[in-house]
Amino acid sequence: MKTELSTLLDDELEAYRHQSLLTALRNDTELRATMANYLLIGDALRGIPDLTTNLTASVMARLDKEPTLLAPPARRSAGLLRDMAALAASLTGVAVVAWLALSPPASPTLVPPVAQAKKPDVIATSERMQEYLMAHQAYAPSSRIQGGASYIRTISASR
Amino acid sequence: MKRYLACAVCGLCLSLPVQAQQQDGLYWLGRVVTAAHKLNYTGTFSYRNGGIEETSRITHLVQAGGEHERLEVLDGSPRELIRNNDEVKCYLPDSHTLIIDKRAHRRSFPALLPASLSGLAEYYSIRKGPMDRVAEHESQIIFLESRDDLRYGQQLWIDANSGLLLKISLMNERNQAIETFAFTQLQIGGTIEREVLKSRYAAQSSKWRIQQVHSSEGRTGDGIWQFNVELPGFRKLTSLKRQTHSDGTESFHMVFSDGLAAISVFIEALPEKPELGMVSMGAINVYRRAVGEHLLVVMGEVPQATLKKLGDGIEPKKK
Repeated sequence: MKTELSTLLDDELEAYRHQSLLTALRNDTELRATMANYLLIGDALRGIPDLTTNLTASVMARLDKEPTLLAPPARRSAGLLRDMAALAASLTGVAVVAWLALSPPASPTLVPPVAQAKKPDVIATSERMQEYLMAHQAYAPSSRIQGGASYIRTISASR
Repeated sequence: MKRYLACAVCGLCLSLPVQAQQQDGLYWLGRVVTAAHKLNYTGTFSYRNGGIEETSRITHLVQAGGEHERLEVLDGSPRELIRNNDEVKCYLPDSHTLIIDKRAHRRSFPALLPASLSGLAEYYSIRKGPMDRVAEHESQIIFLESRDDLRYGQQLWIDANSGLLLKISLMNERNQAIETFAFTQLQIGGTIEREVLKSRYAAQSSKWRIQQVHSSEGRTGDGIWQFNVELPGFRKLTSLKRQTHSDGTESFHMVFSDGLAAISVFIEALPEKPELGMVSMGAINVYRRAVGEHLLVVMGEVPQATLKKLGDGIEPKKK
């Protein structure tokens, strides 16, 4: 499993094996610790000073919120990703790393305390939740103020 | 008596600027609401919350037939959202899914808004900030600071000419932005072809899995469920019955709002393996709780504690 993890972080793991690895990550604390270490090493390589204390939990919380993220590899925020690619070739294209790198360290919503304490939920995959988000947005005053742009919340959670 | 009068006059003088600020702020908010639904525009905006930053294109067209809108995400996996008045279609090509949400009755915006706007000042301190430039447009900044910890504050950048909202940030209790939308390029007015507002997936999506949800207004949920906790400022906007076409499942949807923030409560039959507890999707928090044979899903762009307060107070009415 550790080899697979390493391959994944190198962005060389075949897509069909992503799901089983993710499931393993969800259930295996030791594997999560390993991933945290790999990521920390990656951070150190790239000279990112903000090494949060509970990286595993934060990674897992984010992973679980968007479990489809690893397949296919994300291409968002190309600029930053490109910079990262230059800095750490071994870690390019890995969405988890991109996510960490893109996350403003001060943001309090990254690791909701409750999600951190409990086993995080696989919410983004739930289609019902997607529907609910859309319905919520349709009635929220924010769509009256912002127009359709507020719907980005709905589809932003759907990756 | 004289002293009392002097105090009263002083008090009036001091409170006037605040009052005026509020009026001014509300006036700008009113402009925003009108502009958002009356103007034709097309532009690119960035959306950023905790872990996500991505760019999208939006086109908004108002015709005799109503409002049409297209939202395309330009980064990451392609996703599209098309709105034609009260029907919203969400195209998710990666999972070959099309979600269609349709509302039966149209609640017109003007009817809903003035009431909620006027009550806003009770729960938010509203003041005018300086002018700023966003996507080449001169904008007026308006601050809406929450007066309690039940809701988030907001900061709005409003186009001085058109009233269109150019940028908005949701602020937490430490005054940090937890979510920001900002136009990076925007063209207001001009000709927009109806063709531009069609999804590029319109044809191929006929082969996708289609989740169609139909909702209609009714008081169905109210007779069965009781809300023991009232959140100051939050009023119930609507109560709906939702029906998913594919599997025929029904659920209730109730919306509460203080005029700016909204909380949705969904009540459905308890699934076999329900996922419970609190999670957050960007600035939107979700609290799920099992009550007997039902699952309560409470979500909204409010702090987690607010959702928990409301959610924990929901129970079936005793017969």
